[in-house]
Amino acid sequence: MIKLDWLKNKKMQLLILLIITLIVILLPTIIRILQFKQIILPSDTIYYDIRMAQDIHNNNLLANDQLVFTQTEYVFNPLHYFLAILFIIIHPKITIILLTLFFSVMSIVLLYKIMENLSIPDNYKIITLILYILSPIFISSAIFLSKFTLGLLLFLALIYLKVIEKKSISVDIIVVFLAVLLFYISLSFLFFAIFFLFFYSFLIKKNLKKTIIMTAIIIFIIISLQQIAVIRQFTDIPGRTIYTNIFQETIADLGAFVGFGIFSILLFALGLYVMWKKQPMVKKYILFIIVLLIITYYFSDGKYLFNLCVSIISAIAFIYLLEQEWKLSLIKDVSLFILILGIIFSGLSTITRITAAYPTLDEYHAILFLQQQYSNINNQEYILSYYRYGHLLQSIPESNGKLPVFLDTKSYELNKYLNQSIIANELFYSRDIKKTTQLLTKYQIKYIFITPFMKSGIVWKKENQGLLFLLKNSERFKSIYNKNGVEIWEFS
Amino acid sequence: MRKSTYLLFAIFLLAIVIRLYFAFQTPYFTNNDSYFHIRQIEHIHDTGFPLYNDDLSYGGRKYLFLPMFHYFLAFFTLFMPILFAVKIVPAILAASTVLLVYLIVRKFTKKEEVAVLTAFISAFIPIFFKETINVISLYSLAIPLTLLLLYFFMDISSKGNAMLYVLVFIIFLFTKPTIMLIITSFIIYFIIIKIENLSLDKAEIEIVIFSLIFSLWFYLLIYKNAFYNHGYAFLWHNVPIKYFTDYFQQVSILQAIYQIGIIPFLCGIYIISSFTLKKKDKIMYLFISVVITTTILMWFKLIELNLALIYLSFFLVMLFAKFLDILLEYISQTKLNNYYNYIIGVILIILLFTSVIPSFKFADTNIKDATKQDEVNTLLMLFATSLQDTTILGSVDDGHLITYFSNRKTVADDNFLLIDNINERINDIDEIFTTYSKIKASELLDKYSIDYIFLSDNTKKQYGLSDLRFIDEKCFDSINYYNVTVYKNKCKVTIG
Repeated sequence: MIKLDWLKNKKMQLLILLIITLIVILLPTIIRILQFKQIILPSDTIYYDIRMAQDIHNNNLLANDQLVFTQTEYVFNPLHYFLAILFIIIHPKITIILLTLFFSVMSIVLLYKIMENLSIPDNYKIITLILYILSPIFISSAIFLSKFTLGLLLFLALIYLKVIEKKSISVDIIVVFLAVLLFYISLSFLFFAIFFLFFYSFLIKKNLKKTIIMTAIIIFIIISLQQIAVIRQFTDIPGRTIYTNIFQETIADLGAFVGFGIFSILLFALGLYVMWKKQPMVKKYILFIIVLLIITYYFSDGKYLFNLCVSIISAIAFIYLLEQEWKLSLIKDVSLFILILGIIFSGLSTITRITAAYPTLDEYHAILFLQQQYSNINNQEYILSYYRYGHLLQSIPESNGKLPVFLDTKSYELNKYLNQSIIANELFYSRDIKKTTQLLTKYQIKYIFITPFMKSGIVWKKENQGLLFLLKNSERFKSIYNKNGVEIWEFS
Repeated sequence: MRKSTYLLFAIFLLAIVIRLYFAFQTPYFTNNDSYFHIRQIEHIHDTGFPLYNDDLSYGGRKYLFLPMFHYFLAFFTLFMPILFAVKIVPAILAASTVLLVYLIVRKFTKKEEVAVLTAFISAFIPIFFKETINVISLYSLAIPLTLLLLYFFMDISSKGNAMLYVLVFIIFLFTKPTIMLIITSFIIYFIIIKIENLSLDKAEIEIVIFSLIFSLWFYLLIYKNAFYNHGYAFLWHNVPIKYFTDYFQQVSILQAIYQIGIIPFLCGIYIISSFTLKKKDKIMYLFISVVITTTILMWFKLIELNLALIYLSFFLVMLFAKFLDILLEYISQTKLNNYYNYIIGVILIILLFTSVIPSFKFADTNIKDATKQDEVNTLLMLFATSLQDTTILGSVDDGHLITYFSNRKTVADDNFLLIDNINERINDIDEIFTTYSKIKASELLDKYSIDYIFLSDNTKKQYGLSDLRFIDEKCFDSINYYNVTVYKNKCKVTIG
């Protein structure tokens, strides 16, 4: 066993882990603030969450989103209600930043406490937590605040309450409540929670009866709530994930924001081998891991939670490599060094991508200009842009204006609005002025928002491709904004 | 010095002489890629760095490749003219496989005659001849490095071998990603050892863990962007669909046998079946692992056919060495021992007909297929008479040739990595060469700003043409330089 004398103090252990967490989580935010001289939250869905929370706060929440052509139905998200309460006292952007810190710190504290209660040795505990903190999924989920960030915290709270062994009905009630809440975060989160409860009861506590009763209560409550039409329309059970490119969607080093580092996967595989061969006492957990892996394969949201599993098993592998006597000691040192480098590199790579994520300062200013000059929530005149700018264009905290868009991330991801994506692509790529103007008129599109990011290959690969050609060569389009590559065109 | 040592060096020299004999029959090269390599070597010679940003290929693009081979050859250009360096050094490298095969075989058979005989066979592997005679090919460095890596791995626990392994490994890492095939083979080797209940040397496991971690990390750094751009297609070098079957085709058994050599093929298969079903030998399992891995990767089209056949050839040759070892051992213990020398003679004669002669035939074909003087003169003339930002259209197979001799932009060549919309581009090129419609051709010529069309014999053969079908005198000037047809595009479409 490795001796980590200087870390034997539990408080010192937790403090150091929290410091590392804060550095990792704050780094992209600080870099963005230094770069932009203001707070510009990365990604677009957070702006949707802020808008929904503000609508809840103002009692304006509607069943259908009026700021998108598809009028997407609102789906219940506990995060929105949580934000709505906090917005009473704190500015939205500050709230988001504080929440990312709070959720990430609390996750680490809970995880630490869980491992402590399970009497996990110090070295396994510390290395698991370091691997977890540096994992791309943890970094992404913390900074791109979403319901999954909240869900992670709820899940850890649920595990913690089970593990601390307080025999009281109120604890069980809270566990049931958390499980029901997890259902509204994501079905896979609920699956994970239920499987954990069964696993814990069966393999550790041998108290299956109570767990069966609790599971039955959870399912009963969920079904009852689903029977109430008002509640039913607020749930959104995801379909099975279809991977178009499983490598790019699950491996962070190859592009996935919610993905695993390649060296974590390597350590995970080695860790499974070590569990099977070298640590027979933990062999029984492998079936549990396989079930979780299957859930994660079918429901990609499960990656957020499966990441916990990967970190724990990777730690087993890492310590195994560390403690082994190698015949070639120099090779050992180099291998472990590269492994550590690779793990840090995955985390740093994610931080770098978050730092460079849209919106940029120029894009943000352009959106602000558009919202302040042309805010028209009563007129149905939509903005056409790449779907990822949709929620930004609808509303940003600095502006009182709101604008309806043709397509946003939420509607893009739903199969029933596939037609809108097809139409958007037709508009982007067609050089037929007649066809384009017909479509723009039919769908009441008034403005077109274009960024350098869209011209760098994400929408257009060449200059003067499709709509870019028509914008410059037709009198129907007027340029109303053009700064640093960000363009806004008005169609008349 | 022992007789076997003399013989070995004689074989080594023979291999070099034969290769150089063929190579110096023409001042040019057979394979289009050779001209890409020469450009890189010249650029390193002039500037010290490879040419990663090329203004000419595809009208301007970035390359993504490993430069060790080019630096290695560029080093020799300090002492000799470039043409000599690129003809002589690859020939010596390719011939060095003779020495390495000898060392490996001697290590596991402990018999000089078997090692020498196997070294002789390895000098005349038909597919290796075909891919390396009169061609500047990465295989001429990658294959010796593979053999060297395996040589050190076979006895990794010996003093110094681990460090030598690491040194060769790092050189290989910068040469070609084929190292991943070897690492995968090592993992298959471990699995086989476990199944056979043999003991694994800890040092072997450690060195493979190190190799896996280091290579994963290294190639992730190098190729990450290519994977972002191309996704899965990156694994197949972004080869366009049209050429996919050429690069990753399935091969018939007869073709494989002919290109590997019938004796190594059959004897190698016999040894594989013998050691997987009956006998146990770690070294044999190591070679069998490489054969299994290569076959699987070839089956799933994850490596090019020619590369797979080369690897199969060398490792079947080494398995053949084991067969020879067993055979000669058997003969020496029976009455056939009286005819020992005759039997060796018969084996050599069979090898002559099944390996040596096919190798010479491939070499001869390579020389016949080498770049023609007329084509070179035409391209030099284009260099002299055209403007610097001129674009020349040729077939994909002529891309690097055009770039090298004319120093002008091309529309496409066979280096597809980091090129967007490659299928569209290739389809457009095909359209130009086959269309009857002048309007369609003009649109496409304008799309790629093509000023000249270079119609080599290869292109004519590829498209079944005697001439372009859309040509008219109003828009195209036909220029017959040195019996090679070039068309100058006089009309350009403008968008209103």
